[in-house]
Amino acid sequence: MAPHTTLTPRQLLTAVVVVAAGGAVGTLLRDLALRIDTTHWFIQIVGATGWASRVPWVLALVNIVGVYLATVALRGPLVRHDPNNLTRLVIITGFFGGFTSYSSLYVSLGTIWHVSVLGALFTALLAVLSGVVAAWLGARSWSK
Amino acid sequence: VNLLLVTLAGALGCVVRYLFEYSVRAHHPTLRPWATVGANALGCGIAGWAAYQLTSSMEVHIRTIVLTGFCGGLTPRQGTPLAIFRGDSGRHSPTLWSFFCSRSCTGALEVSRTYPHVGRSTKFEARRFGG
Repeated sequence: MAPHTTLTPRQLLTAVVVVAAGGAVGTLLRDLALRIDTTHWFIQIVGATGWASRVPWVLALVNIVGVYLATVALRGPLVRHDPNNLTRLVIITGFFGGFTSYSSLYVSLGTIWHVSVLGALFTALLAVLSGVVAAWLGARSWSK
Repeated sequence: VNLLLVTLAGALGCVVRYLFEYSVRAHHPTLRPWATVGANALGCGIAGWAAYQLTSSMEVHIRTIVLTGFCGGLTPRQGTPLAIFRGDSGRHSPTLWSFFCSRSCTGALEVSRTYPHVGRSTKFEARRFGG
């Protein structure tokens, strides 16, 4: 099925349900991960004050893991699946779409910016690079 | 209850993003993630608004639902890096790298535009943001 194929109302409804189910599970896992109290660990590593204490490290880790696993899935088992395939919809569009988050990383940049402009720029750069490196590693895992 | 609402909001965010991507693909057939870029920009705008506006103690749950749930589902992190390395076209297109950079800039701009007094509110707690 080509990516621009128009789905019938029934197919579209099925796709929506599948995406919602995957997204719900992904969001639930991310929310549970973010509820883990990691303050004590991070204070020991980055200190209680300063811009580094405001970086959402758990979310950053969740994003890196999500990007890596999604790339592995897309370059491996789902490589020949088009964007409207139900398996791909539930895993990539739904689950990993809900599991990883982009907006809160950038909302957090706002608070970091107030503490340190350089820290905010560094965090933004690190966020971009970590995503690229995670995707590169995921892609490499199948090219060997 | 809060966890359930966050989960449902996340599912809603994913569905909104999918329908947006589907409608864009239906009119402009492409494997490149333009629609995801648009969804991310929109999600960052909503997140910036929610982070600044919903700061009272009464609204903290709504903020979590909007940020962690809806915006989290609307804005996937993996979209563009995947497009770069997925190799749909058989090679790594430089155009997709520019997607990635532009998307990052768009997100930062959206948040900064809707969030002008960032960090000045004592009620604002960055660590609580999960969306």
